[in-house]
Order: sequence, then C-alpha cells, then structure tokens
Amino acid sequence: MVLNLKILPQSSFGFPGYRGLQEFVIIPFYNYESNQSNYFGIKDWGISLQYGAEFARTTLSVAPDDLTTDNSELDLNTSLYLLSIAKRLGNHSLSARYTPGYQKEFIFKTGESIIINDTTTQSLQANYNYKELFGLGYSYNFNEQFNAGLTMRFFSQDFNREIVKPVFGDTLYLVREAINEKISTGSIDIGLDYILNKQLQFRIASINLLNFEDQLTNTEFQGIELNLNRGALLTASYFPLELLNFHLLYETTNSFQAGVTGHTKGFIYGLTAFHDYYQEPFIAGVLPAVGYRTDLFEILLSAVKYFSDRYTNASYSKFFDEGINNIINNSYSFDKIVLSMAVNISGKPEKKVELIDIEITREIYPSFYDLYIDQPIAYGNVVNISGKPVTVIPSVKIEGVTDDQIQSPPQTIAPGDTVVVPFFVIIPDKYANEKTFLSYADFFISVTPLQPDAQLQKATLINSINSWDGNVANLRYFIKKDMEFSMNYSKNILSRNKSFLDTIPSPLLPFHKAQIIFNEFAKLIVYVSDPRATAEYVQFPKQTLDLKGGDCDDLSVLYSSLLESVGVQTALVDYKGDGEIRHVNVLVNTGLNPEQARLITTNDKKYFIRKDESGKDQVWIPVETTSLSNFNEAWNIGVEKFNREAIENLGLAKSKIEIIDVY
Amino acid sequence: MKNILTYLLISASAFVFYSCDKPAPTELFDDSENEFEIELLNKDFDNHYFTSGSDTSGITQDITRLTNLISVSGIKITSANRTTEFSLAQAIFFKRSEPIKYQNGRLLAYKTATPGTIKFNSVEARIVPYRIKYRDNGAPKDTLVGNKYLLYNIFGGFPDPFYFNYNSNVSFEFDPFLPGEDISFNIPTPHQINGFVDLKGSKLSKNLEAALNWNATGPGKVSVVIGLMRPGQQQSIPVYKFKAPDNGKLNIPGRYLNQLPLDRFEKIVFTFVRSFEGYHGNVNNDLLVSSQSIHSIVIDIP
Repeated sequence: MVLNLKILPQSSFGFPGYRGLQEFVIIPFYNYESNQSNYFGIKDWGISLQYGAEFARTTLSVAPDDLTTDNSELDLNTSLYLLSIAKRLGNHSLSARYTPGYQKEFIFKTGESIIINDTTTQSLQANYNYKELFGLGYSYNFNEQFNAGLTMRFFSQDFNREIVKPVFGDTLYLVREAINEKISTGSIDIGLDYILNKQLQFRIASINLLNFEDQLTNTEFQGIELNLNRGALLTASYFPLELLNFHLLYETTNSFQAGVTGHTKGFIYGLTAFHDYYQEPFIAGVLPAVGYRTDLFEILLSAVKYFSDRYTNASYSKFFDEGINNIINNSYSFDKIVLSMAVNISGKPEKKVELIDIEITREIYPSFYDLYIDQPIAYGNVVNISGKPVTVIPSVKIEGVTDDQIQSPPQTIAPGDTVVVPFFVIIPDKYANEKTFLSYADFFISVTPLQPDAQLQKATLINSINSWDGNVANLRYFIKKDMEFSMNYSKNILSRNKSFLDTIPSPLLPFHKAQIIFNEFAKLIVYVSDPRATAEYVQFPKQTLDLKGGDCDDLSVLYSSLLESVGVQTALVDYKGDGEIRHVNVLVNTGLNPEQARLITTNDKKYFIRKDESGKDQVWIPVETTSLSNFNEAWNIGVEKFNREAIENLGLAKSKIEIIDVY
Repeated sequence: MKNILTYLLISASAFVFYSCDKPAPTELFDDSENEFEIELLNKDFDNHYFTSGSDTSGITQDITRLTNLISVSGIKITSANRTTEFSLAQAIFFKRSEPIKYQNGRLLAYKTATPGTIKFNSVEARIVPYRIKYRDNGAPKDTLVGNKYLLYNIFGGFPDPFYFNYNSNVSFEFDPFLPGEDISFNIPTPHQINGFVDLKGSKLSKNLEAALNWNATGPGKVSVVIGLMRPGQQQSIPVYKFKAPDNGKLNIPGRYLNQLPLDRFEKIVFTFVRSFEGYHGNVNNDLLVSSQSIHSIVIDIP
C-alpha cells in the first residue's frame, strides 16, 4: 500500500477502469488516474506499458446536419499510450511515466478566408494539440492503514493558427501568416489512503491542487487552454468477496465512477461505468476489463465504450464554448481497446517468513572454535507467512569475528507455524583478538540462498582469545590450538635424548617421553597464578613457554599439548573443590597394560588403571604440573593429591573430581 | 536480473519506435457565426481606383473588367447620429472595342455607350457624363469615359422621383434608339439592411476592435466594406471588403484595423451591403444586374 497522486486535467479516468486500492493493484503503478495514491505492491523494479487501438469514426460529410446519419467510415489508429517505470525503496515508492499517446489534436478551418488574385479564395486553418508529456509519482507507506503520496504531471499545449495580417508600408498588403504558441503546464496533487480493514478502504485526493503554467501571450489563443478547475475526489471500496468487489468514486466536479471487480485463480475482471459532468449521456460510457496477473506480471485487456456517437468531425462552437477538461476522456474521445502490461522485475522475492525474535544463549569464546558447531549461540523464532511450506536457512554473521554468514542447518516450516531455529557459528582459525569487546551479530533467515527474507541484529559479547569459561573440558581447545608448535617443541626435546630413548623398550617409551619432556620444560617454567585468581584466562602453550610461567591451567594445557603432539595420550583432572579455587592437573597414559605397571613402579598406589580411547585397560599416572622440580616429584605429588581427593575422599564417586580426555 | 532488465528496455524502446502513431485528430467545422472572407480593395491609398474585384455597391469602382451594369440601390448613411436615406439607379454599357489605357499600355477602362432610353420604376433615367479618377505615373488624372444612365433621390423625390422599394421589385425598361425590341424586367430588391457598429479601443493604443451587427435575414451573404476618410474630406477610401453569412453579426479581428495607418485618417466608414445580383447575356455573362441595400456608418476614429 502506498501513496497518492492525482493528476491534472486527467481527473480519475484511466483506461483500465477504476479498480480500487488493494487486491488488484499489486503491479499497476502506471495508472495514476485510477490509482491516485500511487499504491503498488512491487518489491523492487517494475516496468509497464499501455498499447491500444482507437476507433475513430470519420464522417464523409462535414455538414453538421449529417452527423446524425451513418454517413461515416471507421478509422483504426494504434498508439503507445504509456510507458512507465517504478521503484520501491522500503516504505518509499517512486514512479515515472512517459505518455506519448495521451494527446488530443483538433484541426479546423478558422472561418477566415482571404480572396487573392481577384477571385481565388484561400481558407485559413488551425490546429490545437494537447499532450500529457510525462508524470512523476512518490508515495510513502506510513503503516498498514495509511498511505500518502503525490503526483506531478506535465503537459504541453501547442496552438497553431493561420491568420491574415495586414502589413502597411508604402502600400497595404494582406499577408497570410502562421502563428503559434506552445505553453507548458504542470499540476501537483496529493492523496491519502485509509485502509480500515480488508473489506473497507477509502481514498481522498486533490484534483489540480497546485497548477503551474506558462502565461499565454497571444490573444488569438485565449480561451482554448486546458481547464484546470480545482477539485477533490473521494473513493470507497468494499471487498466482501474475492469474486465480487464494489468501488465508488466521486469527484467534486460532479462526475463519478461506479465499478465492480473480482478475481479468481489469477484471472481478474472488472466493469466500470462513468458519469462525466462534461459529457452526454448521463452514463457517458463503460470500461470493461479482463486480465491475468501473478506476483511477477499483469496483463489486462480493457476497452472504453462511449454511449454517444463519436466522429472525427465536430462543432467548433461547442469546442470553443466548453473546451476540454481531460485529454484522454472528453467529448471528442473515441472508443478504444487498450492492452496494459506490467512486469515486476524485482530482484527481491516475496517475503515468506518473519524473524520475530532472537535469544542469545551464550557468550562467544573464540578459542572454542568448533564448540558452536554443536551448541547454538542463539535461538530465533521464525514464522512462516507464505501460506505454503518453506525451508529456511538460518545464518549469522558476527561483526569482527566472522567474515561471511555462517549457515546453520535448514529447517522446514509449515504454513502459519512458528519454529524455534538454532543459529550455529564457526570461529575462524585466524581469530587472535586478545581483547574482549561488545560486537553485533546479524541473524538472517533465508528462503533462497542469496536474499534473506528477514534479519535481526543483536549485541553480543566477544571474549578474548585467551578467555575460558571455567569448564575444564573446554581446555582442550587451548591444548589443540598450538599443536604444531607443541609437536616441534617436543620432538626437539626428544631428539636431544635420542641415545637414551633408543635404549628404552618400546612399551616404556610413552612413560619416558613424558618424563623427559616434563623435566625439560620444568627447568624453564615457574608457577604463577592468574591475576586476582581469575580462572577465565588461559595461556596457549607457546605463550606459557614464551612467558616462562603460568598457573595450573596454563601448565596443564602446556604439558598435555606437548605430550599429545608426540602421541602420548593425556587427560585432565578437574578438582572442582568445595568453594575453593578449582585445580587442574594431568593424567598421562603410559601405554602399559596393568601387568606391565611394575616396569615403572612397584607401588600400586602410584598409578591406576583406566581405559584408553580404544577401550583397553592401561596404566595412567597423575602428574602435578605445578610441581616444577622434576617429573618424579610431580608424579608423587599428583599421586598423593589424586589418591586423597579422588579415591579416599570419594571425589570421583561424588563427581567433585572429573577426568576429561583431551581427545 | 540485469539481463531481463536490458531485454525489457530494448523491447520497450523498439515498441516506442514502431508505435509513434498518434491518436486520431478531431476536425472541427466552423459554426462559430464569425466566418468571413476578406478582400483587400485598395492597397494604395492615393489611388482611389485600385480594387481586386468587381464591386457593384457603388462604394468602389473597378471598370477594367466590369461587365455592362444595371444597378439599383437603397442607401442609408449614418454620420454624427444623423441618418440620410436616398435611392440610386444607374446603368452603364461599355464599348469593348474602345479601351482606355494607362500610359504604359495597361487597360484602365472602356468607353461607355448610351444605346437607348432607360426607365426605372417608369422614371426615365438621365444620361450624365461618366468620369473616373485615377493616378498615372504618380500624377492624378480625371478622364471622361462616356455617359451613363442615372437616377437618384436625396430629398423626397429630388432631383429624381425614383424610390427604391425594399424587399420588392424595381421595374426596368429599355427602349433602344436603333430598331429592335424593347426590353423590360423586374429587379428584385433585398430587405433593408440596418447596421450597428461597436468600435472599441483607440488607434493610439492600437487596440481597436469592431463588433458589427445588423438585422439578419438568414440565407445569403452580407458584405461589409471598411473605408477611411481623411480629415476634411467627405469621400472615403475603401480598404477591405468582408463577406460574411447574413447572420447578423461579425467581429472584425483587431489586427485588420490596427495595422492601418490610422493617424492619417479622421473617420472610418463601415458600409453594410445586402445585395441581389445576377449575370445575364448570351455571351460571357456580359450584363450584371444587381440591387442592394446599403447602410454606411461613419465614425470618428477613437
């Protein structure tokens, strides 16, 4: 729905007949006359044209008395009446039209003759041509009930006339001379639509509200200009059924139109009868129309049938006394057949779904790069407004985090249903922002891949790359992050101990690797707790080695990463504590089976049996990574803490302690 | 989308190109009751005898190609709110074998003849000299071309007891001097014409407009001759002749008056003429018989 525009001397008469406000005006932005508020439902661009044939009846005799006889022949003229283009920008609508066929020409003998050469008489002629050149329209859709708009139309009036002009020098001569004057005229009108509901709609519009025109300078042409009487028009449309709608249009010039329209399965039809104050008989004519339309195009075949005889010959006196008020509908207009075609070439498909709301379910920790593939960051309520089942593709783009929209799995929504749609995201590997900031996430719902039907924006907290949510299970993201660095670092250590390792039986290699690597980095690192004991900051392995220090989280991440990078399986032990600061250390899988445990220790309290990732029972040893003197001491401390809290205090049974496999 | 748009634009442009026909015009026939023909009677205001047509009103004279003429007129002249009426009857017969020429050889007129006795309404016409004035090589000349038959009545039967009867007949009788049959017939006369002139504007402002009205009688035409009179002179110089339907009104477009050198003239004369006329004769329609009602209105040019 949209806006309003009305025109100059064209009043409200349009070739397709009056068709009301909604329902039938999805596309026809071209027809300012019957669409004064310039309402049209295109999404983007629209092009239309009107092409037609005019049935001019030429009398074979020009005598006035002969006009009532059938002494005439039919002359068929085809014209391009109109070409228009429209563009919609949100609630704004713009249209322009070029109207080469909106013109009326009168030719006649002026009644003045000159006798020359004693006996020869020459009659003088004139022609007056009235044209609507082009029009511009703008409208604004305030809400579902109100549209307002304006139209500007531009006209030219071209007057040509031969006269006899006396010229006196030494002698007097009569000179036959052609005089002409062309004046430009324009008119601006406004209109307002009120859509009470789907059944009742109203419109009010001005007629010739603001007129501007060149001043006519030649007195020979005074009195024949277009009449620009001001007025207003009121319309009411009643839509009780799709098959039958009623329209009434009244102009304050005491003209009116009454019409019925309807549509079914894309076929549209209508019949408008019009009374024109300036024409006879009382019902001057009818405009039948049939057509077919979709959301993409409309084609309409309409006709204008006048109930009075129309001839190409007419009385000059009547013309001079009455003039014309309307270029395309006046006492001298002929019956017509007009083909109107309009195409909606919008690149924007019809909106099928609405995104009602978005609920952000979690903060974003960029280190958890694949966590959000399984766990949505937000949920949206999406409603299907199309009347057909649609499959929607949710997607999200986070400013400063993702370069592109990250699509989530598609979902099919039944007509009218509202569905909660999850939004997943993947953090790019290259993300390295070490600061926490507030960003915006754009959530999209698309029916077709290229064009979102709906979107919403929400503020989202983006944590730094080192932020951690306190869930020990999520430390694995820090462990994996620098895996290439860790592998290089561990291999470098192991290669320096190659001679020793070469003497070690292969079943004991994981244990000794764990021992050698621990002892090497322990020499470089000191334990440093987080500032203000925060548990939300975790260093990546390289950062810990570069900084030469870290807390339990950082050291466990470092040691686990170094071992995992050379094939030694690890797990994290989460000591949740009771109101105390949580603690983390590492379990190392020695790769030994229970019978081989004696190869590393005879103290069966220094290890425990746990299944590996393939389900085999193997010997695991706890290592306290904050004990940085040497491996054996770290093992002993780890064993002591594990036995006390996990086993003796039933920490595992009470779930106060949790063992989390890194992989 | 771009392809579709391009295709549509090209198609639409082609459509416009091939559809440049325009709706049929309406041809208006003039029933404005201001239809007229205009004839320039005198382009040289110093030569009284130029005319482009055969005027029989007595207002202008063109005798270069004039046929033999029998003319009766009821004349009314209104000047300074006074109206004078008189009647006029005349007959002129030319001898085609005796042309009168300008010095450069161009035909000016023919000598006239008086071959018998002529009576109008049983009143014998007097035979009087027939002189014409013209300008030859810039010099005014006055020459006698012969005689003509004449009756006129200015003051109740003086000097001739000839009365022009409107909407009636004037009897004509011809008794030749040489042996031959007498000729007699009736000349029908038109209704009297009574004109009215509404002259607005001024010559200084060059916005003169004249609305003419007269008593209409329906079919036929009325001629209106516009003439100008110099200060102190009683004879007008005819300028235009308008011929219009006898519908009682004629608006003279201002341009016909305002382009004239009115500063040289004191008065303007509108002469309304309603006439019957017909040609007679076995060869070349060599006799024009006419009767007319004439009303001249003399107005000071505002």
